[in-house]
Amino acid sequence: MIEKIAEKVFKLSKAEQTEILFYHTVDALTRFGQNQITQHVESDNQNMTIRMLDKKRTASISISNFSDSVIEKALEQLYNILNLQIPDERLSDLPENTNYKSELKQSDSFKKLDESIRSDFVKESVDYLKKESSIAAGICSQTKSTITHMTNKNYSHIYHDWKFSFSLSAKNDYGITREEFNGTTLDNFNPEELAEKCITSLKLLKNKKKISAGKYDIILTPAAFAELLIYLFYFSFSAKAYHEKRSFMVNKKGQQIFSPLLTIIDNPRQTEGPALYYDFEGSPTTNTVLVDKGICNNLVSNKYYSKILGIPNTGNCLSPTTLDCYPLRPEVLPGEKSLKTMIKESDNVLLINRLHYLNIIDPLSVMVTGMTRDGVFLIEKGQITKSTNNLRFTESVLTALANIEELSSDLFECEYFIGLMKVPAVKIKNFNFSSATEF
Amino acid sequence: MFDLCDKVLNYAQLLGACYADIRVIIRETEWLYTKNGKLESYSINKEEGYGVRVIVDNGWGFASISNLNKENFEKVVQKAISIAKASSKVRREPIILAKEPSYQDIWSSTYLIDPFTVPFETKLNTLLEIDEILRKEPSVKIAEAEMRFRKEHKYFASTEGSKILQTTVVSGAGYEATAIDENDVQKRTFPMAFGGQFMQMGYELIQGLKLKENAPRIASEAAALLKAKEIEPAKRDLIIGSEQLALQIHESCGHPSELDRVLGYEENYAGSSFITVDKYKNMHYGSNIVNLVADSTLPNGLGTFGYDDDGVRAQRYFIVKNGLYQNYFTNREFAPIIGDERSHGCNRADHFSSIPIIRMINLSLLPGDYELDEMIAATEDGLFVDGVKTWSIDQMRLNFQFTCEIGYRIKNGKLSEMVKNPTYQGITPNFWQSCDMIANEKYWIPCGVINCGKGQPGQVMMMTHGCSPARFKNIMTGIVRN
Repeated sequence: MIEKIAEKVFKLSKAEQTEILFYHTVDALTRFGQNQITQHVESDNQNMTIRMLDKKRTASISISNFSDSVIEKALEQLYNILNLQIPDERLSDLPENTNYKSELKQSDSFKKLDESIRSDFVKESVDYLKKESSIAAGICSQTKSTITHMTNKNYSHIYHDWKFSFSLSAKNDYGITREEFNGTTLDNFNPEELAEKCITSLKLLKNKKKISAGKYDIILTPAAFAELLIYLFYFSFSAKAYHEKRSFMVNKKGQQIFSPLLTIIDNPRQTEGPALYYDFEGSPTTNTVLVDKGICNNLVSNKYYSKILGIPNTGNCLSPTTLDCYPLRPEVLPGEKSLKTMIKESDNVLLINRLHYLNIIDPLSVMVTGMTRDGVFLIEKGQITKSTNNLRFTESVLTALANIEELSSDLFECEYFIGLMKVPAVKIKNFNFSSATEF
Repeated sequence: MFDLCDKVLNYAQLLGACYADIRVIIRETEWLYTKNGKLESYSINKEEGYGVRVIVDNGWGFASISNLNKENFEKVVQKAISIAKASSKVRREPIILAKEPSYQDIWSSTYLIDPFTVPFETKLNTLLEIDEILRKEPSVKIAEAEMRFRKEHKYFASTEGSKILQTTVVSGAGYEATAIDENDVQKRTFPMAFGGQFMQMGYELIQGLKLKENAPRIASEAAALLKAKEIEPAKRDLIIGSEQLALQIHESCGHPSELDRVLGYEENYAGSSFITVDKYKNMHYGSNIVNLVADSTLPNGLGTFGYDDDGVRAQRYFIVKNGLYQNYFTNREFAPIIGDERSHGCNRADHFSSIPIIRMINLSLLPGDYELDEMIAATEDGLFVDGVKTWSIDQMRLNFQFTCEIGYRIKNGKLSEMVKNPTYQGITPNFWQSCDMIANEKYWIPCGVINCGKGQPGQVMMMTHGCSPARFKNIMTGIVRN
C-alpha cells in the first residue's frame, strides 16, 4: 500500500525533490490501579508526512487520510506554500539510491502478546500483591511501529521499532515502592518476580527515619540514573547545541570532566532489538563514544552541523528541517560489581529507587532539580536498615558524574525519549539535596 | 458523520456492550516556527479518526483507528469489545456511571477571523519582524518565534442517546530571546513561555497581543539577565506575577484536585494527591482570600467546551472558596465513588486515539483588592518573580520548586535590582495559607497552557488559568546549594 501511495505522491509532486515519511504505530496499553484494570486501550495510527524541497526551499504537510483526492489537495497546498518559502542554504538534498529494510526480529513471546495476555500478567502481579495486603498500580504496554522513509530519488529505508514495558507499584500503610521491566522481548519477564521485588522493598519501608536536606552519598538504581542522564543527552551532546553555545561541551570538549569510571556510547546499530541504520536525513548511523573514561570527545551530528563544525557526520539527525540531533541509543558501560555487592560495601549511603519530575535550571552546568520517589533507603554497614522521607535535589549533572565512585556490573533497559537506553546502577558521593518533603 | 456513530454504537450493543460511546475527530493544525531570520519549520497536519469506548462484563475497552472508512468499523468495535472482556478479568468494583441527561446539541467556540484564511505571508512576516527586533540586541544569539493554529470538529455519540457536535478554533503566538555569553545562557519569552499565549480565538488574538511592541523590552531583559546575579537563599516575602502564578495554580491546585490521582489510579506514574478523600470539603487549603474557580464556560479558555468527553455539560464551581477546599475535578466513573451524584465534567482526551481521563478544566484565582504598586510598597524585604523557566513538584503535589525567567529584589517597598534564576520553593498548603495580598481585576489575565502532560499513553491537554499577581509571606527563595 505504501509503495502505491509513494508512487502517486512522487508522480503528482511538482517539486524537484519529494520525500514521504510514513508512520504506522500500534500502541496497546493496560493500566491498573487499586488492584483493578481501569484503562485498557489500543490505537492503530497511520500518518504520512510529505516534504518538498526545491531550490533550497522546503515545506511539509502531514495527513492521515490517503485517498486520492486528499493527497492531490495536500500536494497542491504544499506546492503553493513551498513557493512562498525563504531559501535556506543549510538544507541538504534528499537522500538517493539506497534501499534498506531493517530486520523485524521480534521474539515469539512478543508476537503473541495481546490484550488477554496483558490482562493475565496484570492479574498475576495484582494477585501476588493482594496476598501481601498491598495495593497494585501500573501498566503493561506494547508498542509496534514502522517508519518508511522514501524519496523520489530511489531512496527507501524501512525501520521497525517495538517495545514491551511493565511497571508495578505496590502500596501499603508504610509507603510505596515500584519496579519495572522494559525490553524488546518478554523472554526474561516474570510479573510475579517483579511483585516479589516490590514486596521485599515494601517491607523495608516499615522502619522509617526522618532526614533533612544536605549532601549525601547515594546509590541510584538504573531507573533513577537513567532519569538524570536523559537531561545530559537532551541538552549536551548535540552538534546543534554546541554550535549555538548552549552545551557544556563548549568549554569542556576533550577534557576530563567526569569520573574515569564513566564511559557512554551511542549504539544505534545495536545487535539486540531494533537497530537504526540510517537517520532521518538518510545518512548512515554510527556507533559513537560520547564519554570515554570521563572525557567528552564527540558530538552527535548531522549533515549541516558536521560541515559547519568540521566534524564527522555521525548520522543522528532526527529532523531534517530543524536539524535537531540527539544520541539515538545511549548505553553506559557497566562497572565490575553487582548492585548487591555495592550495597554490601556501603555505609551511611542512601539508596534511591526512582527520581521524579526533573527539570533543568541551567543548561551550561546541566543543573537540574527533582524529587526522589518510591523508596529512599538508608544503607548502614552494608545493610539496608531504614527507609527515609523523600528529598528534593538541586544538583549539576556534571558535578554528579564527576563524583561517580562506582557503576554496577548489571545493566538494565530504561525508558529513553526515543526507545530504550542501557544503564547500570551508580554510586555518587556528595549529592546535593535542597529540601525535604513530608512523606 | 453521525451515520458512522450509529453504526458503531449499534454494533457495540449487538456484541454485548452495556454502554458505548464514540468520538470522531477531524482536526487541522498549522505551525510556523522561525529562528534567527529563517523559517526553521513549517507544518500543516490534517488528521481524522475515531475512538470507541465500551463497557462489557464490567470491564472497559477502547480502540481507535486513524481513518473514517466505514468498512473498518466492525474491526475497531470488535477490538474494543475484546479489550473490555480482557479487562474484566481484573476488576474489583462495578462500573457505575454518574447520571447525566442525554443531549443533542451543536456547540462552537467563538472567533472573528478564521486563522486558516489568513495568508501564510502575513503570519510569516509578523514572525520575521519580531525576529529582527530581537536580534538587534547583540547578546541575543537565538531569536525564536512561532504561531500555531488548530481547528477541530468533534462528534460525540453514546448509547444513552447523546449526539453532540463541537467545533473549536485555537490560536496562539509568542517568542523567545536567548542571550548567551561564555558563562551563561538566559532566556526571556513573550507573552508566555512554551510558544506564547493561546486561546480559543481566531487570528484576532495574534493581532491584539502587541508582539512587536514588546520585543525590544524582552530582548534587553534577556541581555540584562546575563549580568544579573542570583539571589542568596533566604526566606522572604514573594510577589508572583500572573504567568508564573498560573503555573503555580496548575501544579499545586489543579493536578492534586484530579480525582483519579486522589483515588490512586495515577499512583504508578504521575503520582497521587495530598488532598485525600478525608479532606474533601474539610481542609484549609489556603488563606481566606484564596478563591479558586473551575470553569469550562470561561470565554475563550483552552479548557472551555460545551460538553466533556463523557457527554457532561460544561460547569463552573469552586475548587477552593475562602481558603476552604470544596470540590475535585471528576468524571462520570469516579464521581459516585466519593458520593457525588453528578460529574463535574472533566473527562477529556487529547486525540481520537486517546481514552478520556480526568483533566483539570480552566482553573482561575479570583482577583483581590490591591493595586500591584500597593503590594510592592507594603513589602520591606522581598522578591518579585515572573516568567516560567523550571518547575518541579513531588508526586503528592506537596514539595515544589520553581525557577522563573526574571526576578527583582524588593527593598523597602520598591523594586530594586534584577535577579537571574529566581527560585522559590515550599509545601503547597503552607504556601497558599501564606497568601496575604492579591491584586485586583485590572491585573487579572488568562494564561493558556498547551503542554499539560498526563496519562499513559501520554496525553497533552490544554487549559487556561486566570489570575492577578499575589503576595506570599515568608517563602524560601534562592537556589539551595548546601
